[in-house]
Amino acid sequence: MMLLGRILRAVFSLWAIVTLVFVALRATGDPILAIFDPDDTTAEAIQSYREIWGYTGTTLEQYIRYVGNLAAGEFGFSTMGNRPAAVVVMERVWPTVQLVGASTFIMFAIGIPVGTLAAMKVGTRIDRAVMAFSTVGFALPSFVLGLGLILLLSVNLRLLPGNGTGTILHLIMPALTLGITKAAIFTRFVRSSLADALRLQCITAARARGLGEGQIFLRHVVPNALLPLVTITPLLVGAMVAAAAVVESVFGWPGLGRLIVESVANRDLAVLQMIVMMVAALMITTNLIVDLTYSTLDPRTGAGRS
Amino acid sequence: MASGTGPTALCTVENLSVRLAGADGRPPRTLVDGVSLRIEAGDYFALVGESGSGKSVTCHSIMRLLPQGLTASGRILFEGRDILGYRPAEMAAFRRAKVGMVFQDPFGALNPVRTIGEQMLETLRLHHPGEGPEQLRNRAIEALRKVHVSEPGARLGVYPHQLSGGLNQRIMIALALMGAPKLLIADEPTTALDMSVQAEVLDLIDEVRRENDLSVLLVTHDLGIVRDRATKIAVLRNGRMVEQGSKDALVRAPQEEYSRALFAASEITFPERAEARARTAPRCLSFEGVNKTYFIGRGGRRSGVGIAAAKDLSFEVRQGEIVALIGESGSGKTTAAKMAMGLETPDSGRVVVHPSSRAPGRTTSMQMVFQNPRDSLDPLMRVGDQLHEVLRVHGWRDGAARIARIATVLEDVGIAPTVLDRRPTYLSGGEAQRVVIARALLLEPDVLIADEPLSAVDVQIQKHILACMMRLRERLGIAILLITHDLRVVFEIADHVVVMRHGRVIEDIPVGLLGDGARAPYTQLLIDALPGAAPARTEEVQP
Repeated sequence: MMLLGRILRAVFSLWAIVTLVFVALRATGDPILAIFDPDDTTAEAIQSYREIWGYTGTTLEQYIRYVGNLAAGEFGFSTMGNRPAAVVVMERVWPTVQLVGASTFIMFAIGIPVGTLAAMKVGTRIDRAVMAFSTVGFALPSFVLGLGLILLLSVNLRLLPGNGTGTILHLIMPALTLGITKAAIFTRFVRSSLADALRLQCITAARARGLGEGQIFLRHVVPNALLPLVTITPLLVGAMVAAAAVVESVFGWPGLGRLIVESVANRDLAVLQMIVMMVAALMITTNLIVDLTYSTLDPRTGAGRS
Repeated sequence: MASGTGPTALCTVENLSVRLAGADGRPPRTLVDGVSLRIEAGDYFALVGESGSGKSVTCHSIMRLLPQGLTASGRILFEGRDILGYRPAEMAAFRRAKVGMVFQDPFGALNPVRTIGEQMLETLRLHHPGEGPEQLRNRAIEALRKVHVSEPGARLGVYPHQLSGGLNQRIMIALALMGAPKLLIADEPTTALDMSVQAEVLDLIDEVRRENDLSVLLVTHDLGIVRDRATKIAVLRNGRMVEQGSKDALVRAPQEEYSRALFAASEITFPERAEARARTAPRCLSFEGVNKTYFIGRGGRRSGVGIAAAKDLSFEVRQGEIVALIGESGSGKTTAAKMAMGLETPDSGRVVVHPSSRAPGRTTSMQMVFQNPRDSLDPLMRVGDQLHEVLRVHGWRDGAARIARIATVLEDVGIAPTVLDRRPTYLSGGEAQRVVIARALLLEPDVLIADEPLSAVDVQIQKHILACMMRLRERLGIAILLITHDLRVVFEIADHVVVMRHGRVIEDIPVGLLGDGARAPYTQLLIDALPGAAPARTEEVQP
């Protein structure tokens, strides 16, 4: 019952985003006129392109046809290269999955140990140093960090390729750039949720029963700290997809982010719509899953079993 | 004091000092200053004092559970060994085997995200490492049975929030006893519990003490409990020992001025049994057959089991009266206050606000004072600004008039105008509560509704606030609807008392009739559960 309600809500959110995308992209001008100069293209040619890409009829008709096509799984044709938008997008998905996956790993690898250390030493010099670095980390635009890495690791030290794709070496720098930026935020969350959990009275009580520190940390502190972290992680991973637009451009990584930039520049609406909806669907699904795990993580939030 | 370490000394604290390291420009502070005490086998040792007296810090020092930044010095000998010198592993073994601890808030002391069973089993596993899950489970059930938890098997699978505070506190006691300790430290074990449950938990502590040959170190601010149960008493104030000795000696003839005042403040005087006066003053506020039911879960929709916060609730408040609304948590007293203020709407019945008898032409005006004064003041605004704000919002344009009004009100509640320049952080608990009352009085209400205004402050400050309320009633003729769970407060100032339980009015009588022995069983239970109500017992509970 609760599950059904949540799913309906998810479908509604998806529809709202589909509509928003439609309105936003059409509000910025006639996409056909953005591609073809009416002065040197015949009216017939323009009209035939309109028909191919589905830009005929009133806006409402276009909207209904657009939603109908989406529901049927047809995402239209890309104006660049005249291939199905789905194909164009899908071939860019894997590189982005690699990049975001590696960045997430880096985010965890930095955030969890450093955040834990800071939480254990709240108020000390170590804690303040971690917080200072974290502030610098998320104040730093990712392209600055990326260019800095290129300058250091490619130009000066000649350790890594500065651009392109193909080997695992190509992945390291973009993943570091994305991962470090998000780790700055993630570290703060790890620190504050662990520090809050450490202050709980049940931790003192567990210590008073003579439990070992390791056991207290794993069985009492971590479960109490998990909820905010489970909430923030998908948001940060989602933000990585958005930040990938910049990072992939800097490092010439052939992922979705660069595709977004390209299709905006070319007003390739079908591709843009496809990407936006895919990312939205992904975010909505992950949030749905996170919502559903809440009651397992914190029994107090569940429907009161008694 | 504790120089001679006799053969029966279980725990001796010698010259204990606890310091808080200075940070962020604050100077270091001494929280406990040279405290010595001696607990012998079989003692029921009560450590009493107001909040900030260092009693909790002292007992946490014995377990070495002080929060970061606090350092203890001196000696704490347990069975002759100084525990301040223990390494962490030794300390963990000590906590496992020698001392059990029970905390003030059982909901806080149990991990909210793990089941009762998981928490009991992990503790049992420490004590019986070789045993299988089935044996451990049986031990857990047995442990719960010993503290009189009904259906012990079923409790293992539930989470703390699904049980009542009293049950959780029993479970905490079971957990504390798992290592068969010599000493049980109970830090305000009943402060967070309802009156009738308090007595049960204290009785349970007495029982396990007898059965397990335990010594008890009880930390409390409630001298009633001490009077009833302790064998020895130590009084702390501002981190220093005021005096200590056997209960009889201390209760009968406290040597120090401060302990005398403390014991006097805890004295219960049953109100004179006066004939019920006819209530002739004009009505301010009346509840007429009010019903209100809350439903749990499902986004507030009316499904599931409803909890009645008001069932055919009728009572009235008349001008110049202090009416006490008394009941345990969940009895519906706060809901009644909210309905009076219009913050909640009754499902049926009427809450009538009568025309004001003091200012013709308008209806009775009401103001509310909440439980925690610090939460109801804006920590970032100076007190003066917060008071001016109230008047400004209500159209007082003239600054001089506002200043005059504020001065009058501050005088009414009895605090110096110097508080106006301070921020709430720099007020004492009593000052903060009086500022809140002053703020409520600014607009000259006919009725002041005070929801547990005393439960966040100390005994002596309670006295000041009660005196302040009496003065207000006399000087300004306002009525006060005082919501409380504490019968002692009722005895002290109320004219009329309304006892509520499960949303119903059990009793609606002048306060003079409370002690006449002809009350409803529930009311009688509350009266009997009052710690210190019985004349001080002289025989000691044999361990």
